[in-house]
Amino acid sequence: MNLPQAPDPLVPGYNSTDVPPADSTLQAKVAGLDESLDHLRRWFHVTLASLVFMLAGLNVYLFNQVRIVRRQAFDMVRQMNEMSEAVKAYETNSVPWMDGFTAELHKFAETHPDFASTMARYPKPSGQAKAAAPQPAPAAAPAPAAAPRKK
Amino acid sequence: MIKTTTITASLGALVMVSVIGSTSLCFRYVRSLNAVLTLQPEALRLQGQMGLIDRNRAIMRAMVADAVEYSKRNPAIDPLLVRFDVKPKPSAPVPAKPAAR
Repeated sequence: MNLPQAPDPLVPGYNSTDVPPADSTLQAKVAGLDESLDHLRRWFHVTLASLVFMLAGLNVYLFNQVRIVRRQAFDMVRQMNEMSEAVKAYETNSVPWMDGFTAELHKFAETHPDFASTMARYPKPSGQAKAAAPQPAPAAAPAPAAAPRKK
Repeated sequence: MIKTTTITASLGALVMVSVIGSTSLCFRYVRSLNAVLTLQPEALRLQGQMGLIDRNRAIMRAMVADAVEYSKRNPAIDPLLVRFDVKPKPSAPVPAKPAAR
């Protein structure tokens, strides 16, 4: 916007009579621009404040989500450690006992036909306990292991 | 004018801090989620194994119950059950005390 240059009073040869008469239209325009600028500045502040509040809400939400997911991960690791300990205990204590006991019962059933009908319901030890033979478990922290099934 | 500039700068700083916080939280969230997703297959595998173990134990319980039930009809199986601690060892008969005079 080309505004007419007002004469500088510091410039030599300044004469107050050189000042052009105030243009009311121009002054009104400048006043309007000032007002618009103030308005715009205010709205900018409002927008920034809203953004701050929105981001604060987002941060609270994200913080809760992070807390939930981290707790889930922690619980999952704990459960996995417990399960791997239980599987190890089963493999170490229960499987040999189960295999031996089942084999002996089947052997007994061969000499006692009345018991053979009962044992016919149960699988031979070769395929039974092996079904749950554990794969290599991940590194596990000490955790309470399930008691082996032994009387 | 100075007041306006201060307000603008403060709000801008708050926005910047909030954006940095959100980015950091997003990063942590994604990292934690990845950790959970990485652990999930292993957890499922272990759960499957636990299911098999429970099934095997149930079978064994039934087998032991049948054997104990059979031992009531035929005590010939008792030594086997005692050897595997399914039945308690029969206590030795206590010798009768000589009658006191």
